[in-house]
Amino acid sequence: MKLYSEEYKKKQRIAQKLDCYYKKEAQKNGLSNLDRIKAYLPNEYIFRAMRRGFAFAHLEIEPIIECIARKKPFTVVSGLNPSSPFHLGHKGLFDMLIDLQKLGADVQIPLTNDESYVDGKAASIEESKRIATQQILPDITAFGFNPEKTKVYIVTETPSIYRFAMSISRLVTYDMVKTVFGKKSLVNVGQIFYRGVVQLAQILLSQTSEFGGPKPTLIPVGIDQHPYVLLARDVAKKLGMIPPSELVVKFQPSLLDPEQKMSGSKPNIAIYLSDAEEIIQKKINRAYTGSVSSLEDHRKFGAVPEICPIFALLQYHHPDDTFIKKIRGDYKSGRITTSELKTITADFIVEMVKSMSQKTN
Amino acid sequence: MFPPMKLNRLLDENKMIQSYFPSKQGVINTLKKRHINILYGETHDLLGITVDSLKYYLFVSVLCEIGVGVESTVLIADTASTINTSSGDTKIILEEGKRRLGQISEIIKKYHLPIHAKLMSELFKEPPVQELIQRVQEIVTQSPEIQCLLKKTVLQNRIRQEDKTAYKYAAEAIATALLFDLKVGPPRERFYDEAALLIAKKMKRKSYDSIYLTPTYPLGLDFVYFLLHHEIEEFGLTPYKAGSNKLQDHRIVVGKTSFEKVNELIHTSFVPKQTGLPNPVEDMMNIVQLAGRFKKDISLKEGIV
Repeated sequence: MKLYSEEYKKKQRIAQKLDCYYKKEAQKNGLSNLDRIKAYLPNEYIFRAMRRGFAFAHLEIEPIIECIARKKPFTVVSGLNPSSPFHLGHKGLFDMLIDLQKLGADVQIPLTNDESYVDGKAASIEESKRIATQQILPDITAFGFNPEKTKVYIVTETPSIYRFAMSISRLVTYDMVKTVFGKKSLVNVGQIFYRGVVQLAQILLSQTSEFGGPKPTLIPVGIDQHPYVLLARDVAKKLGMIPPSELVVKFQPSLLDPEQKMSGSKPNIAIYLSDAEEIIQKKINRAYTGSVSSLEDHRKFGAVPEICPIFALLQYHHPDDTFIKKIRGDYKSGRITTSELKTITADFIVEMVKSMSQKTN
Repeated sequence: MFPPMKLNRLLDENKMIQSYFPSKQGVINTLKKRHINILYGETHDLLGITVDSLKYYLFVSVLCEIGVGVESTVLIADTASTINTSSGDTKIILEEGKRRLGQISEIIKKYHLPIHAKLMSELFKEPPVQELIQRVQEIVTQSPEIQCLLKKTVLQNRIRQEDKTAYKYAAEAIATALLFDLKVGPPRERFYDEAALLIAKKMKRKSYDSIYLTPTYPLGLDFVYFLLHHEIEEFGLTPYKAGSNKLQDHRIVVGKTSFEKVNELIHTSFVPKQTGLPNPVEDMMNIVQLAGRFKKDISLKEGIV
């Protein structure tokens, strides 16, 4: 029997804590895990996020699966707050949107610059619009979405969203908004209007007559966003629309803390698509790891890839399942060192970012 | 009485057995008795005998074949079939019961099955049976706990109907089963059997044991159907009613469904990539294998699969 070091045991406890967190949250919110769905789905329908377990729970995803199998129209809506440049956390989500589009989805991406403004993340509406137009839109273009099946829009420049938001505003009371979002994120009336109805309008827009009427809609979200979907489902029912389905996705971890998500607001914890090669290498070299500090112990016990943000970079972005499986096994068993993992990951991420930058330009 | 080795083989190797009630050991103990009365009861609609009913006739026949002192009865629940239908249909359904008795007798003869078929209306003419039904009905009416269990015996869309008839259908089914040592049926009958156990306790008599065969799934439907219908995924369709859930076009009706249609249904059916999911084709294969145990005097032209 191996006698694990305290450092290794601590890392394992973090992995268990994270696993428990997602399971508990899913159960608490009445979400189903994806095991049943995956058991039924033909392999060609199991997209990467589902296969690798980033997408881990759902609420009524069955109608979406029916649309995929029967080649019926459905929409995936995923907003992006353009308060910082595009980073790999965004990319993980956008890769999933591309996979869903290949399975037949119409994709809608509202760039919520109004949210950036009301939350004080942009100095002015003009500034938020500039970031969306100059920094985010070119990066989205690089993903290669099918233009005929994609609608990307800057919310402040889309008056129909506000008209629709106003028309549904009487269906949502202030008490409902307070319960769902909490008082802390409802400091000014802009936040109340945005969170209360503009966000719902974005989710339900694809079901308005302008877009062909009610149809199944899928909202990929983080577990903390589940209440928004519940509110949208409630309003959809009142409007005679189809309550949107929800796919819950695990966050891509911060480079410095596996329990935090990669966020664009703190440059050290995220890799931006605009980062230069040296910066990427530096960030990866400084990142938290799933291994212990002593090389001897690493060889003896192996690492905990589940909490390693460096391994997560490969897991979220590398296209080859067999490669991921091998690296995971080698790292977990201690066959490859953290330093080797960093080199492999940095080489891959640098190349990937370079190739995306070329497409953007 | 069952020879121990044959009994073990039957229970451990038979792919058709899904589970037991109250326990496997309970069923084994019952099957070790010197004389055993086994029941398989089925209601019917007007659409004919399904190949899924055949599964039950064959299974209770196997029990008769390998046991000594075992008697198996296929009970055609003609009166029960009329309970939840409009009064105009009653006569037709009772007539259908008689016709079904004739058809089952024909199947029994052609396959040389060591079982017999009987109409529920005939059984209910016996005064002790009538008394038993009345007593069970009284207990059901007085017990919300039992009613709660009986609600689970039917599909969601039938609950109101059952409430209206004070669970007459279930009470009669339970009273009938209490006349036997062992019942063979589909998994959904577990809820009847749980209720029967409580009723038997109140009556201070022994309840029966049950063997549940694998659920019956519709043929010719893809994985999406099962994904969208949790209830069918869990319990399957009512095996003996071809029109269960209006899926008659996805069932094989003995003597009615053409060979071309059978072929089409099987080839377009969902076949799961892993165990534990509905597998209508495997179920069909098991029925065919079971039928192979019996020497049949039948030609393909006659249309029995």
